[in-house]
Amino acid sequence: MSHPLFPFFLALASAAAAFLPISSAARRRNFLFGALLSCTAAAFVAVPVLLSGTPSAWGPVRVDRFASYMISLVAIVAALASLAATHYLAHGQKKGTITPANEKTFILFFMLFVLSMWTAVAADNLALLWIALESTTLTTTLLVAFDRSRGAVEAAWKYIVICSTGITLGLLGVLMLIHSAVGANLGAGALTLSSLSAYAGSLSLDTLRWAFVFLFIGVGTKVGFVPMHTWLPDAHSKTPSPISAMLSGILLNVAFAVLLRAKLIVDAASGSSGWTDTFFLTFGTLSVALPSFIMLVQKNYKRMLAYSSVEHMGLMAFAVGLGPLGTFAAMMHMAGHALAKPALFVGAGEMLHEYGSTRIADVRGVVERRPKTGVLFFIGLLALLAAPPSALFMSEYIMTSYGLTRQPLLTVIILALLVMIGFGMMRSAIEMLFSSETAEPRTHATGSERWNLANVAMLIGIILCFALGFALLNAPGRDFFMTLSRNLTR
Amino acid sequence: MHITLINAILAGATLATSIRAAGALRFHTLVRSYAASALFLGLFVAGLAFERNAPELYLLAATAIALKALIIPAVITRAADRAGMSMRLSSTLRPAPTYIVITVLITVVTAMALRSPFAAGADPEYLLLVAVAMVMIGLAMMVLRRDLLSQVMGFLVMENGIAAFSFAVIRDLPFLVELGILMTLTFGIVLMGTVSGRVRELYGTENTQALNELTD
Repeated sequence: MSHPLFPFFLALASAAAAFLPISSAARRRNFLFGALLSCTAAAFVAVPVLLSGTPSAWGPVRVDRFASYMISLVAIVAALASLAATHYLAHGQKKGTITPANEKTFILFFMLFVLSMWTAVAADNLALLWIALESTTLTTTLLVAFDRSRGAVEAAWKYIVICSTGITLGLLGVLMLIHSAVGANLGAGALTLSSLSAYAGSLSLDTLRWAFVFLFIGVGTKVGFVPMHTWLPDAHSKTPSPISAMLSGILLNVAFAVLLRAKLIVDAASGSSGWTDTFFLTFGTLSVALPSFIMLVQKNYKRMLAYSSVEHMGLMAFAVGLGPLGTFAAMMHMAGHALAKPALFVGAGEMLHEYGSTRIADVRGVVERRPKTGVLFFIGLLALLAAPPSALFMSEYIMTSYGLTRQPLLTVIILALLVMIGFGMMRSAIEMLFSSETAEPRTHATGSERWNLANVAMLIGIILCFALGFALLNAPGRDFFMTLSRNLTR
Repeated sequence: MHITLINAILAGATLATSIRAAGALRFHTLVRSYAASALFLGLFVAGLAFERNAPELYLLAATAIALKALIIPAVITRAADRAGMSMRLSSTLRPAPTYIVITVLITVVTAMALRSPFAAGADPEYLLLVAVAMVMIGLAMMVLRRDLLSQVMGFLVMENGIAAFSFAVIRDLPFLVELGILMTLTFGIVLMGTVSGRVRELYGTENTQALNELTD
């Protein structure tokens, strides 16, 4: 079960199982079982490497400590999303909005999407890495357009055109990396990240910097850095919530991980991280700034969550640009955001089911009408806004206190922007959750909400986010992230 | 005629037909210009295969010609005929200003490419210039054009430019890698076609200006 490719085969088998001639209920059960089994298998592959630091490799796939960390995060988010997706599909079938054929498409692309993300983070071969990254776009495009409304199809169009263009520019960057390796006579190793890292000192710095610029613009589009973020609020707000949970919670991190790998190579070649840090600091600050203003005027709660993802990617980039201790904080932040954001998107999906609208003004009295969803959404939001003891509190505390010593002016600006974001999101959430009900007809009696799989997914995500926060209060938790970040800094 | 001269002519023809595609405001002109550009690039790759004595490149050239010069244009034309798509395409600029903008852009990016570290090792050097020019033309088409089809075509031109770049700067990119990238991009184009078909169904137009439902 610990063979590096085992979870990949399981995910593929689960995708194929969607087409077995069985009832919808059985198909959903198979899907949930297959998804959870694949994620467990991924954990079996990742955890030993995560603890020992000894990489395992098979062909073009190489699972080192950072890859195993990313595989684990993908597995956790995918497991949470599969719980919510099972509930989403059952609800859609009941309402008649999802046909069995649509359900098969959903399951197929869900599993292929997870498979693509695992491949992207575990790929050592540059071409495979690029193909996997582009596949994450290709496997999710039809999921973005899943509800077939005008808005969803518009979002899917922008998503595929902008992301594919970005990733295609990223391909230029990949080709430039290969060119630098060929120029240094690395031979058969020219196509692998590990050999580029190992022999970075002998590569042409000029070529690497050109490659980094193209990778940063191309893959940065996928990360959602401002100003290449324009597809993100549309796609994340129109996609079915379990998929939004994965897009926001982990896909952005997968793309971010690729940039970190590229940064490491360029920094090793130049002997300093100053040049690449400037990119991360600039785009990071921009990506926190724009959402902070939009949050104050945002009228759509799913778009609000999507802009929050842009902000968190910006914070991570800012932290990485600060230096080694910033990268340590960014790694914690990545995990905290990956755990809290899916809970919120799944909660947003539940509110959409209940109220039939994503407009903040149309949603009132959630805590009264759907108490479990409302309370979990509120706690999840507190976790996302870095209320202690959330893992995000620890990461933001470290990044800002370190930032005040490295980039005091930028850090003060970032802190001011974070206050604006906190205010904007909290104001909207309080209006939706706690203000009195509208005259809309109710589908549930007050306070009668029963536990469902979506609530379970929210609860697990939130518990893990706070548990991580507690773990970071102790030395072993911090040591784990320190070791992880040491592999990503010079 | 010597093979290197033939290759130079084919590379020039690839660029010229891409520029023609950028200015085309009629559906069939655009599709034919793109198909011609893809055909010339495919023949160029076959020429390289001969020049470099690399038989696997013949297979790549044949696959690229079949996919990009024949199948994709045929599928797009058939889908457009079926959907009753307008034969008149939409752009923010008329053809003459488009050509001027593209000429300026090509001048800038080729000047940059000549100063880049890739110029020294590019083989042949003119292919590097053709490649960066095509990437720029593709990007310009995606920005300037206002209809779904032209934007997809812009992406295709850009993708041809990147393929040309790989031939210019990396001599021995493994065949499977080239093929994998080509197939991935082709699948992306098929998906773009599918989504653009749905946009046309729901919005009743190919004009991307109509896609304004999602705002903050």
